[in-house]
Amino acid sequence: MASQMRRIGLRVALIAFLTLMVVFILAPSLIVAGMSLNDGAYFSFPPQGISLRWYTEGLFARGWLDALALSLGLGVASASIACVIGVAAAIGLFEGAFRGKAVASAILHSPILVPQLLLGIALAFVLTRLTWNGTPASLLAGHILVTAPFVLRLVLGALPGVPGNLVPAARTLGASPTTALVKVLLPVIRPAMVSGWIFAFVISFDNVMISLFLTSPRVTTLPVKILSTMDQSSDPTIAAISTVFMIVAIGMMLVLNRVVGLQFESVRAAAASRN
Amino acid sequence: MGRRQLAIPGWVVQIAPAMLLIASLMAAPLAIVAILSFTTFRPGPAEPLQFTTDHYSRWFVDPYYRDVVIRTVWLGLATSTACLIVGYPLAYIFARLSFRGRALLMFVMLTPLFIGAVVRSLGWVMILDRTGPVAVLLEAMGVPEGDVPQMLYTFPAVVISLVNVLLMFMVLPIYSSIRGIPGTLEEAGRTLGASPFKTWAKVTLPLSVPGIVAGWILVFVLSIGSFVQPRVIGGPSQHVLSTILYRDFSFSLDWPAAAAAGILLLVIGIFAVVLPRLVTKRVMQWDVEAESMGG
Repeated sequence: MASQMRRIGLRVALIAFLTLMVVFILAPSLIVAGMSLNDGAYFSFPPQGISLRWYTEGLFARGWLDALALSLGLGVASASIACVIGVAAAIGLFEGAFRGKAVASAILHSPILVPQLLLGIALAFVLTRLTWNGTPASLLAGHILVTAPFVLRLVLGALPGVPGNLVPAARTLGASPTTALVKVLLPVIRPAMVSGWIFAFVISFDNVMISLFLTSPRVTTLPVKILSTMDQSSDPTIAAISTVFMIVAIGMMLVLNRVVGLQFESVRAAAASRN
Repeated sequence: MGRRQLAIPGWVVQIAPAMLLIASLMAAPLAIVAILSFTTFRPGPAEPLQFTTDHYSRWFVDPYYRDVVIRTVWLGLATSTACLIVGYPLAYIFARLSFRGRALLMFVMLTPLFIGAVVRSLGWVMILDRTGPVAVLLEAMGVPEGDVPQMLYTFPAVVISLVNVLLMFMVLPIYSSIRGIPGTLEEAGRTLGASPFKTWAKVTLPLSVPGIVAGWILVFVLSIGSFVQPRVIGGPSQHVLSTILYRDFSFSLDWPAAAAAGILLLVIGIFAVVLPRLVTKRVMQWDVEAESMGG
């Protein structure tokens, strides 16, 4: 009887704990989405009536859509380029036989270890001297730098799982190395490549700490613009654009879930593990 | 070394682009900026550069900057510890219990990773502000309106917002650590008569330590390097290394000082990664020595 009481007690505690966790995790996102529908001209709680006007009017002002477009474009471009570079490096690292492979691997993973703020300053300094900073190209360079190692890591994790005789068999059957790579190997590691692309996109899309140094008043990404606007105004438009931002990000999450299943294992491979 | 199972030649061509990327966009700029941090460079009209160690010494000599470093390290410690306290039970629940909606719950818990720091910080500002729901709740519970404390722009607020984003970086390593423990070990403990708690304490916990250490280091490094939350939620009274760095860079235009701050951040991060390893090595050495001495 006592142990049954304890079991029920444990159950209740468990449910309470998990509920608290969910509320804690979701609260910021929900309140931002909620505020975006607030009719009042400033943040207030409880909200004063529901209105979509921040979406229909506010979004089209003050360069929000430009920033959104740039963030989306940067995300696609840097993810794609990072994928090409990362997949190639993973294959080279996995397959190549050369001394100093551990060093090469460490070097290729290193951008993850350096604080992004430091990377930002370093890049900003060099690019400004070349009068190249504050352009989409400078942002692209920075984003590729911080996303490629993640792609590398993900694909490198998938390569050992490739059946050992797959590509040699294709070669024996007459395929050239290029054909073997493109038509045999890449399809096998496609889940890793797709999740690599999606992670790279999200890292680029969310990125603030290196983008801060690479933007200019006219060329800015959405997170940076949201950050700088937070200091100035409390117009709910910022909540509306943030909700749009969240929708894109969660959309990507859903796509990733469809492709590889967002179980912890697949995310763990991408999480910045410093070991 | 080097399983040749892929039989795709040309590793030089394959790793060259990545190497080039890192050399040109990271290694060279970092080296340049490291040198820069010892000079008196200012953007604008060219002046003769002088060598100086001021940008580094201020962190040890000036009490204001010393406080900032202490606060930064403190932030890392507080966030890691909070994440551990909350995250270990969560990781254990996910790893060992199966219940309906577990996959959905995992998905939900991962959303912060995808939404990013800026939007989340906006949300926390709304929540903790004096006109926000927490204040309204406190007032409803009877706290008179003038007495509702300012929750924003405090150290705990920054920690809470960081835990919100970084919790999963603690949960994931611990989760995989626990998943890696064969269930038979815990079963054996129970069979031999140990209570569930004792089984956990003597079997699961020690074996999950690698995950704990990995998660702790990760959250520590990520939190000392965080910028958005200390800036937005902490405000001017809660300066940390990263916010000083940005202030120096964008307002004072003191790029060498900002570079020095960044390098200091890097060094602290390296310590955070290396130190636990040295300590664990030492502890294992003592174990071995103790065993060999005890015979």
